[in-house]
Amino acid sequence: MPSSFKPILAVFRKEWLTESRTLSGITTTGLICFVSVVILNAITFTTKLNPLVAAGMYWMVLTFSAAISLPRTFLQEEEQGTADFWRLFATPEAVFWGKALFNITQMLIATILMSVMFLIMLPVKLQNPGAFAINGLAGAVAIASTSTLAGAISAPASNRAALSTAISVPLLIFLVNLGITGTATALGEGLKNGENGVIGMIAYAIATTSLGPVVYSKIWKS
Amino acid sequence: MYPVHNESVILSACGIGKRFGARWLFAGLNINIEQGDCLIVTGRNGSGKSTLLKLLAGLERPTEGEIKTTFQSDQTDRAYCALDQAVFPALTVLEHLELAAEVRNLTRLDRNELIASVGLTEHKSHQAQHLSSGLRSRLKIALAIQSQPKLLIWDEPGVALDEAGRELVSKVVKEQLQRGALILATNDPEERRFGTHALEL
Amino acid sequence: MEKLIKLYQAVVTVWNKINRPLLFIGMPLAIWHSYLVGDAQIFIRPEYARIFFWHFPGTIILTINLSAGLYFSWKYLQTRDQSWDIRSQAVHEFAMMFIILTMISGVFFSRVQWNAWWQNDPRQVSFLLVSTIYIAFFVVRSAFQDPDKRAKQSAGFALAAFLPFIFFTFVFSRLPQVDSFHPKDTIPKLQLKGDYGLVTIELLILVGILTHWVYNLRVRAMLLEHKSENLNGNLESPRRSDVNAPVVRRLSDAPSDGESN
Repeated sequence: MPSSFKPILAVFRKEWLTESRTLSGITTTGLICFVSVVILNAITFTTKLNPLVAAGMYWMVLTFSAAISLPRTFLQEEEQGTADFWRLFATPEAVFWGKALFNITQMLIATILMSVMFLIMLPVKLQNPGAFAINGLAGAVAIASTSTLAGAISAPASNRAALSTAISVPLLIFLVNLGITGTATALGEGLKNGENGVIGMIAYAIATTSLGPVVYSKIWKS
Repeated sequence: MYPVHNESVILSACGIGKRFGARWLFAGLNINIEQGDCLIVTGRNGSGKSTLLKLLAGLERPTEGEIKTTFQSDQTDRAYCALDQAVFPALTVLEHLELAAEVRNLTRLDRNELIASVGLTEHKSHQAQHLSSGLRSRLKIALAIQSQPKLLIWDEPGVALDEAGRELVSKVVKEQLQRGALILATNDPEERRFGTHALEL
Repeated sequence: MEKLIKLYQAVVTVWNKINRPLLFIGMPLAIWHSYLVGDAQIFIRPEYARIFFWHFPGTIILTINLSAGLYFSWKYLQTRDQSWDIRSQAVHEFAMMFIILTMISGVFFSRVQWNAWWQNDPRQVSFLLVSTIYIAFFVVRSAFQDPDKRAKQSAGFALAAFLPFIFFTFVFSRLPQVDSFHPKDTIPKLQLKGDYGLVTIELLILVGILTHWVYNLRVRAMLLEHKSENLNGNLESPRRSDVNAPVVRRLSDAPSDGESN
């Protein structure tokens, strides 16, 4: 294993170990997704959903569940006072990538769970499973990277929990737009060049994951 | 101005100052640390001892001035240990040391030997949240000396430690002075004995 | 290089002398010119289409301000010099002001032309979304009391926010589900022709000069405020006094009198 990956995986492993002992992040994300799909199901019943509206609902649920739960990886370090542990022992790139990798994993689990429930419980028909899957996966990566960065920016504030949600949502808005385009196309909405939404989402995911460590390395020390 | 620059200097702080709001804790401070030096930082409560140590540890940036080091890696050659430093509540003693070793790419280190040297063998599988403050201090000492740093920066070493713990502090200080240099912030007369230089804030 | 710097300084000196006269003479002339051009007959109330002259420059100037904000934020993170944070705050404030002015002028245009305050047009909504991003910038600033932390974290946010801003500005209008009555090709295809185009450019330049002038005043005021805060700090604590500056003493050599190094 290249030596540069080892610290990243160590940070990831620490997050995973902590999560496996507390289960706070995945249960929060999972519960928000589950409750949201059940509510949507209760609202729509047998009403056929327009693919664009269905895609909008799908991405709103994912965005808000991420904005609430994902920044926590950074927020809890400041709450516990353990942020200095990383500043002493690790490089900012390893910390950001390790935490982003953990958030991406958490977000992928939530996206898969949410997608399965969404397709089973809501009156929508999947026309293009490939586009749906790629769009969802790229979206999960982009959401996780953006929320991780929002967490890093808001962590030193005294009102960090509220601030992280407040700044995550505006940063995620465009991503929701792209996600809706791809998902609506996959659900059968006849959008002209709808696949551009999927390509845009992949580009956005690459851009956010590249930007995150650069910004974090500049702000991580007092 | 405290010694001229030479090749044996491992840390050099030039004209550093720190301000919180409109209040300056200190300013125009020059420090050069060489191999074998033990700088004792003293001062009343609120004089800025802990803040100075955090600046020298690279945890915070000075408001003015510059801190230079000759370390190959800040993560391995410079270590910091303080009472207010937190550890991860859900991780065990052994997991802490594994994590600190992996993020710093440290190899060929016997973690069990290190755990034994700080007297935590019977607690190595305990989560940090279940350790007493004295035992957590021992864990922080283990984390600080794990990489055998060239410079150890230590804030209030003996606080929260029992008699055996204070002996451990003496042992670690002596070993560190053989290996490199030390900066201690303390008002304890026993610990001030180790000093080669003093700085009163 | 020295020649270039001298040239730049000469340009700045001349510019500082002519910008205000240019503004005070040019602005009334441009406004007068805007009433001389013929009405835009494609609109229901052609005489009110002139709102466009005030609507359009705002979008360009706010984009320039936000781009400058990105640069100033980056410079702050590189240098940790508060003056860059002050510049960043100033351009973000101006960007926010132009977001509001552009929104208001658009709303009035919509009301007089189509008898509705809000059209739910995708470009209108996307503009509103951009405003939420930069409201969040000021929310981040207000969350930190310490000036260094405030500058650092908000600079980080400005860097992160520029990506969605760029996507909203340049990609959003090309998304397939976006069907806006805002023209997409006005600028790329230079569709503003004749006197209409001329007045638009005149007002764009003049509003740009006005913004730059007020921006300079704002930055100077904030820099003075910053200096006075520092001065107050110095008066409260005489930090550069040699007497009070802490000095490292060598203990082994001078145990009693404390040799100063």
